[in-house]
Amino acid sequence: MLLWVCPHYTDMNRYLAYIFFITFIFSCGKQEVDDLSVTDIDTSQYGFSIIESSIAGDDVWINITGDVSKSNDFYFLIFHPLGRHIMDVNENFMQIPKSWTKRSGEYDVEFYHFNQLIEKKKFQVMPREAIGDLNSYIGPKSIITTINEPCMIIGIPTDTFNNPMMDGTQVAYNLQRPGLDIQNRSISIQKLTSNYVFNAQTLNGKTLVGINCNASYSMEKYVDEEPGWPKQIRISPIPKTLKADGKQFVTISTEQIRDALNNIVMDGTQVTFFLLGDDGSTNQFTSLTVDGKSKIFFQHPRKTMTFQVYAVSGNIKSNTIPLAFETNAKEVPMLLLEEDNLIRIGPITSHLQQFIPDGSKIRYAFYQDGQIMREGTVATQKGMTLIRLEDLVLDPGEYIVECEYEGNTSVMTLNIGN
Amino acid sequence: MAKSANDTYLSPNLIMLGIVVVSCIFHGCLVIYSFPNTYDNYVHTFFADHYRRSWFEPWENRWYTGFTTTSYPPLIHQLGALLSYFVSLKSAMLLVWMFVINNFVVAVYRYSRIWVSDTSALVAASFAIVCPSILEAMHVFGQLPTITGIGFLLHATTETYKWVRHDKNFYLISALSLFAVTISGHHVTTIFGMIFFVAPVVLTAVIDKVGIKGASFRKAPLTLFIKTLWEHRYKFAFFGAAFLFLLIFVVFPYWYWSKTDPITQVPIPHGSRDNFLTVKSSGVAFFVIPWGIVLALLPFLFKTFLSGRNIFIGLSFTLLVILGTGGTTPIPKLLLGENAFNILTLDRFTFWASVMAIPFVGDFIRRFIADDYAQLLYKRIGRLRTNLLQAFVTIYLIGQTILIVNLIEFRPLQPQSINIDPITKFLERDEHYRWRYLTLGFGDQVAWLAANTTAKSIDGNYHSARRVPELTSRAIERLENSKFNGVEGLGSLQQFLTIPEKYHLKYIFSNDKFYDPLLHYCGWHRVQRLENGIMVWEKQDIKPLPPELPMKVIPQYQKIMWGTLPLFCLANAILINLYLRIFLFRILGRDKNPTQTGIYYYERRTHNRYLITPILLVLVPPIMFLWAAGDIIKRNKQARPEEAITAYYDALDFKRFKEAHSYLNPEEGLNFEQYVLEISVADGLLNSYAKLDNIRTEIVEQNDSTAKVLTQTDWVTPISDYSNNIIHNMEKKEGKWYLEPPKFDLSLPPDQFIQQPTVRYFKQGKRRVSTDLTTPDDVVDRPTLNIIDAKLVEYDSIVSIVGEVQNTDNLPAHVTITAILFDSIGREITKYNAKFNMQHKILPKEKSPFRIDFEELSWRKDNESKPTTIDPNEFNPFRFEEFPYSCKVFAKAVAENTDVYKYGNISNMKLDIENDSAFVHGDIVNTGVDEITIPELIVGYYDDNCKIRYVDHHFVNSAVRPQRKNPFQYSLIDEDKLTIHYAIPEKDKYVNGLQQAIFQIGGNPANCEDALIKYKENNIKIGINAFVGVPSLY
Repeated sequence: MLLWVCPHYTDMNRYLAYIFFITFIFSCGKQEVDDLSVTDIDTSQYGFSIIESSIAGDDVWINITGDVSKSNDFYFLIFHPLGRHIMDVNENFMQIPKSWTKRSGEYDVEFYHFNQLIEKKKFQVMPREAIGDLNSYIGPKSIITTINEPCMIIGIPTDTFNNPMMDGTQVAYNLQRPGLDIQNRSISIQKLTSNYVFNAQTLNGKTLVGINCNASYSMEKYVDEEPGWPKQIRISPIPKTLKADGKQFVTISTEQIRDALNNIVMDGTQVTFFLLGDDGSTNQFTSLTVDGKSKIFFQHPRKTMTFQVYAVSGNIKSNTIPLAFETNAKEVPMLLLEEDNLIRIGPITSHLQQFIPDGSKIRYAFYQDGQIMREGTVATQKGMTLIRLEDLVLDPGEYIVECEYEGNTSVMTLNIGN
Repeated sequence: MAKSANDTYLSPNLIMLGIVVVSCIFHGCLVIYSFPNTYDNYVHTFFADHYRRSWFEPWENRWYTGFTTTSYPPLIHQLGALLSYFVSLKSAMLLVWMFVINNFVVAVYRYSRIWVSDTSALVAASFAIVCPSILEAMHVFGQLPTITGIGFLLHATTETYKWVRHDKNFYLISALSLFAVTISGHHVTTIFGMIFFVAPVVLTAVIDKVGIKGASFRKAPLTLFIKTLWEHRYKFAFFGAAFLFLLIFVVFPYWYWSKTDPITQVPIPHGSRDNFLTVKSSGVAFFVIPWGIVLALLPFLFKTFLSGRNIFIGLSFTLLVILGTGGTTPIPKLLLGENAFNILTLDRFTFWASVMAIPFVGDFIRRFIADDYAQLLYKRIGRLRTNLLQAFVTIYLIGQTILIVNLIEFRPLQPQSINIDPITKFLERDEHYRWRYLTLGFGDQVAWLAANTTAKSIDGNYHSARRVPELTSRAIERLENSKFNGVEGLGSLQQFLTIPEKYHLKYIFSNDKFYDPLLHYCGWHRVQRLENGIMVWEKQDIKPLPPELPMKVIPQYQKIMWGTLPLFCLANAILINLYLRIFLFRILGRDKNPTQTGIYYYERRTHNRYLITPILLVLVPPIMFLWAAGDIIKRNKQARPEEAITAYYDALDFKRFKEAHSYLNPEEGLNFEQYVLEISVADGLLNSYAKLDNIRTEIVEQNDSTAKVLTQTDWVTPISDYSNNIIHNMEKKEGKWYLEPPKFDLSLPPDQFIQQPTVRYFKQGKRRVSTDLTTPDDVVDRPTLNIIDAKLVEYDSIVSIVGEVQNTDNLPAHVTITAILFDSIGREITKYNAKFNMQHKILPKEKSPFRIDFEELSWRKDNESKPTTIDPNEFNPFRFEEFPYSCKVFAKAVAENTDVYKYGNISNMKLDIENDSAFVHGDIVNTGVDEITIPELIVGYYDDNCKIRYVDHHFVNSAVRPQRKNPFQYSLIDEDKLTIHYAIPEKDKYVNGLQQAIFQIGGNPANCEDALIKYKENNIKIGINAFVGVPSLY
């Protein structure tokens, strides 16, 4: 740099002289401010008053006593609900910017010179009229009628600057309950919010709620008033004569299930049907209510038997009714096909002279001297089925073969040679 | 005679340029096709994406719970990131690949000139393009850093040789600059390369020095060699110190990380540690393929390596070959030690050995095609046979190349390519990225998905950085392929699925229906099937991730080092090796000290030309092929009844139904179409989700033409394991044994057309079409629950919480139940959620018993051995140091509208007692219109006052089609093993975050009217929890 500024050392003094000269000229030209130090100001002569406006977003004026032009170090600290601002003082009559007074609540104004607090005052800013959206919340969104379940709706009206209303402001709650006229309630704001608690009534349906406060309105809210637990369950009567053919369904249904207040239980309520067979077997079928009714389709068994039927929902048990199934097949013919080493069972026909359903299970047993030597189950196709003697690997001797289908039994004698 | 560079018509540099062009064309075409299908390419792409997004911030939140990228040298990732500012990320990585592979080819040429003639070096460089280990590393494994590392290491080794040999310090600077690049590219290659490559080359350079001093190597006495070595001790010490400095300095943040963030991890099994003779697939992948035709040259190579001046590199080569054999012999474990053996992937030794051999393979090829070997063969076996042999080797080389580059087609390593756009859009929609996600069945495409989204996954594809204890305590690489990791994989996955709230895991993208039952029974439900076929599963009621996630703070200076040094090293090496070299050559004249020295010794090596090598060239390829493909060559699998049964089940297991049908007795008349039809409709856990784990056969009866074979099969499914015993009747026809065809259900459902009155639910979500967040009005209230009863019990020494919960609301509920156990001074011992032992979807007024078992997170203690077979039922109970003093039970619910299928019913159920053990059996009836793919019985045991005693579950292994029934059998628990400790008081039951005691429930008191059976002191209730694999909704 030096080489660039002073390419020749001989010029250095001249350049330095220029620099000093220019610096001197500039420093002489600067006008000194007649500023007084902190100790020179008598702060007791200073003070201020606030010309209040109680509405958020309006002007607030401050009138300062004393000559503030004596110093540049006067300023205000203004504390408001969401923070603070510093305002320099350069006039005796000053306006707090509107943007600073949008928040309702208590404002603190502190008047300072340097760090010395001169005076401190408060003023209140009130919210404007409620207008626009009214914040509202509701919960729970569904209530149960039978237990008078409560529901609370909360309304928080605000002004254009989102300031909540003052306590005591009236808020109108309008409710349309199921089956009732519109109800109006006026609730005072307390601690900046208002709320209204109501309990579920006897009728089901949707309760609509609207809230307003001056020109502020909520969105429509609703709560579902829903039925409670089943009170009683009854099973509808069932036809008495049913065939044990395994080919049909019998419909078992409940009558309309209602709660303690006679409302139809909610769709989708689970109902479990139990069918206890006289052979010790148990059947459990689950169903859901639709319009209060629940039904199951129970496939006919393939053997004669009687069931005791009842249903359970919401820890309530229904009445028990019997359900009987009569025999379907007439006889179980058996034939030995010696050439093929097979026993043919069937054709087994049903009460309308049709084959019994495919897949019907035939139980067989081979006895020798009263002892079961082989037993098993085979399934029919077109009313018939085959037993392959080769697969059974029987020792030579005489056997009693017994076949059983739905309680119908056939017996034949079988001789197996060496 | 050997030809030197001067003998060729074209200059070696021009030929080398041609080789690089060929390499560009060959690998350039292939890499575009192989890039998405390799193992590691997407992982490196993900890392590149990380640097693209935040170059100087090493912390990466998108995998696991965050990890630092300083755990892996960043050179190629940063290079890819840099290029990705100009081209797409994938194109950037392809360009990096081209740079790396061509750099390697050039490096091979330069390195080869230490050992062989110029012409041989050129042939070696050509061979490097198709070297099987390189092809496999690039086009199968995608090992970009490994090839980067070895490429620069060969350059550096060459420069080191020249420095030692010619005492020119410029070469030292050059070598160190290249070492710096190697370190920043792949530090492992550098460390091992120093031992296996640089050290032998330095010693060879000393030999060469001595040889020159003593006029020839053979005349150089050993003492002179040692003396020269001693004379240069300070030089080598300086070199070692400089290298060490670079090794520490260039990747200092890596060393800092490994020192300050030590993560104890269970080593992950790797095929390279297998016994290659017994685990043939590992042998093929990690030995046969990388060696390829070079295996036939091993005798030639050993002879060459272990003679004359090559002795040191020969020893190194020998060691590498031995280490590369993995667990085939105990030697690698003895040499490396137990710890290193279990951490290192040993295939890298084979890789380095194969690279080390390239110069000599190149030399052999040249001699075999056009030099002394060819002449020898002409004399011995005639010109025609020689030419045929040469043609055979050429064809084999071509075939081998085609096979390797298409290996991923023959044996796909990855699932089918997935279009990730729908997934990224889903994650962006409705701020789904605020939760963690998990992918299943994506393969390495998890990394590609991660590179395209800012959403975070609890899984990852970089196992070294795993930080989650459920992962680090187990030998699993990734959760997404956990089914391949047996008990550890599925066990770990089950924990994440059972307590997903721990890691804010809310979404699962499933590309593998194998996991569907597990997800369902852990309480997840399907949300939608995306356009790309991926099913989205969701767990409700999971809190989003906090806005600020914890991260490991890395010092600022390290961030700057990590962000700048690697590319600086590369630029510096390029500057030194290209610009300065040219500059110096201009000033000082041409390089007077070429690398090439092999020519001096070539004449003395020509004696190594035994006929065994050509014979091996003919024999080894077919032997290798037969060994590798031996399993798939057809043979009679029906010579014995047991073999036929094993073959039948094997075919069934791999869904080769045509083959399975061929083992069935053709005289029974079951045609293939009918057979496949019957099998296709027989869905269920065993048919659709099971893997055959074990099969045992025992001949019960047998004569010349028939046999009865008892077959015991063990099946593994994602949720349970099964053993099945069946007696097969077999018949022998024309020398082959056939099975009797299975019997299928012949029953017909009564009605053709079914009407099903039902209640369906639909949750609107946001009722206004908007990208804004869901408004409070659109949030559905939580359904109210009632924890009817809860107890702390112990069954068979396993502590559990059992209870019963009822949905008292009018909305269907998705229920999560958590229990926390406390010790006597109120400290939390452990907590866990109910998993399989409850119905997670509960309808209005429905009750479900539940059982919560407490599982160890760290899973296994150090002193326990891991099981050798897969067992999804494997349960590791929490080990209580102090018995739980108290317990709190938390039930929470959200309204549920999907996967609610309640049409599984029970029919003809009876209780039987045999040998003092009781069991119930009956039929499960599906009265709905969807198939119940897997029915689960939830069995509740109650006392006479209807208070819960115990809860159990049982999966039924076959599906129940609509309007049909399937049998089941369930063994009741052993009462003697059950101890009831205490009931949980009302004050310790919480529902939806509130104490249950403080709010109204209403309703009717619980009773046992819905009990099915009474046995001893138990009222037994059974509920059906149905998993519908393919709901009509989807």
